[in-house]
Amino acid sequence: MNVAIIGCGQTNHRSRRLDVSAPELIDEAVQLALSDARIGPDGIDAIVVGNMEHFEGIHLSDLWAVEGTGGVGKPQIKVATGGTTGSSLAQAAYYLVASGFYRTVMAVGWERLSDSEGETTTGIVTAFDPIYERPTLAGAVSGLAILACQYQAKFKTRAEDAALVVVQARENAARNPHAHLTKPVTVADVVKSPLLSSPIRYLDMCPTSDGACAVVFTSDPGDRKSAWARGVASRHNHTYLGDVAEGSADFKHTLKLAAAEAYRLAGMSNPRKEIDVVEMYEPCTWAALDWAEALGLCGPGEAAGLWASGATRLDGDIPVNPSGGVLCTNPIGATGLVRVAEAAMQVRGIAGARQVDGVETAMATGFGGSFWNEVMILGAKP
Amino acid sequence: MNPEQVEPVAVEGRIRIPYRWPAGRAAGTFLSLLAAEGRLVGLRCPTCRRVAVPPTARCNSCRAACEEQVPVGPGGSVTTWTLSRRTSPPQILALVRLDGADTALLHRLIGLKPEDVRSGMRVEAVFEKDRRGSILDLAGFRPAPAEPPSASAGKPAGGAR
Repeated sequence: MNVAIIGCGQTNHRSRRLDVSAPELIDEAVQLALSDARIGPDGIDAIVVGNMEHFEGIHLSDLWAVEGTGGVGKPQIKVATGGTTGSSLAQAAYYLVASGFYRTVMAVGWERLSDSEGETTTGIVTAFDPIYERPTLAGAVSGLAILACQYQAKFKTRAEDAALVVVQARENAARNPHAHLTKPVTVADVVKSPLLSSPIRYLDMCPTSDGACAVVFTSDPGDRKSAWARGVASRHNHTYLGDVAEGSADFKHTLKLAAAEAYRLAGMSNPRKEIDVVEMYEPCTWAALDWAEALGLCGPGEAAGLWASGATRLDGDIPVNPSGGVLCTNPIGATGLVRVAEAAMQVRGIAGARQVDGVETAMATGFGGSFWNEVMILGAKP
Repeated sequence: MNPEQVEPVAVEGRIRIPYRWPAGRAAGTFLSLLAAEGRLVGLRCPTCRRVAVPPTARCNSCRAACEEQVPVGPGGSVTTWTLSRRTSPPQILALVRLDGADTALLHRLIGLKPEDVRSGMRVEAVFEKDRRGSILDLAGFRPAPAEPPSASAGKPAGGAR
């Protein structure tokens, strides 16, 4: 069964949404998605919902979320795969529709990082192996810092090269009313910002946001503006952090596998030429460089040049993150779904001031749990 | 060392993460009125007219946005109850349908013995004197004279503790 995205809704993501409860925050995104899809709540046959475990200190968060999702009396499934939660939600919703079991399914991702303000790292630490790694590991940044160190050593990439990624991301975010961080930054600002874990500095890293996103998938879009799922792939892995040295367990291994499968399903052989826009899940500037290469947008060691050439800009030949990406907005359980929503909006031609001209094909990626990656390719035609 | 000779090893840990949960629009209003004025309100669904207490911003049946505030209580009826031995001393947990509400609020019964509780019995809210915006600003519900809700209209039935 071919599957189309017909509706996307997201909150205006902010560092703190103290004015609404979690279900009320979710409701904002859900109402916008229903309105965009031009359907009422009765038009949704099933719901997939998710967020990060521990982050709000709520067990059975799917139960708590129902008031916002509209899941009463409907099949509602919770999916929680760490950072990939949002993209896993999209993939689960896709499979529920593609299988023919449900006609229309809504994916709902949400997060309130401010509920455990300053303690997010504690939440993430519980993800790691308690026997060998948890006693020493210092959260999300250090794992990515190891990736960045490897990349830097291999290609002699300068801090200024990585900084350009967030400079461009902020320029794009300024065009996106949903984006959290929209203030322009310069390369000098980035390389002078506080060092978190070398070589990652404060402005190299994604923020923590409160926000929600909802996306409607259907096999029966009628005359609605549609973004069709053309390649959907997910690859997970487990490894100890010590295994990230390049090889079968490095960060981009599963991204390469997922991308290869998605390209195969979409019948693509030259992603740089065949994809019009990328919404990449880049938790830090250095990861964007490494993963652009893993996705085949350029060759090994060429990513710094790709950004410097302007190719990744809104008017470049392979725009990356017109939304401003994860570097500007990160309500984690929603973050991967925002990538899918933004890619779908590009294909549907409704991305407003951040719209890339003439998008026929868009790619969204999801990253999480350090070693999991997911890819969804959307097209204007099935 | 032969693994079969190793005593089981366990690594101990403790997770402590502080949280702060925004009550939001519906519960925020409910708790603010409770704290500031010792007043209980529900929210009425514009479609099915159901008055929810505790109030929610969206009707879980109709999916309509609920904004109309409706005064409820302080009297109500026990719909069902249990004696919970999780605490010491045990406490009587009850679902109380406040007068004017269509749903019941989970709270505790005070000032009576478990053997005196009956489903359907009349109770009234007991408010704490020092209130800070929590469901525990309600100390609980105590037995009230068995009179129909209409007879108590306009007469303050709740008491401060």
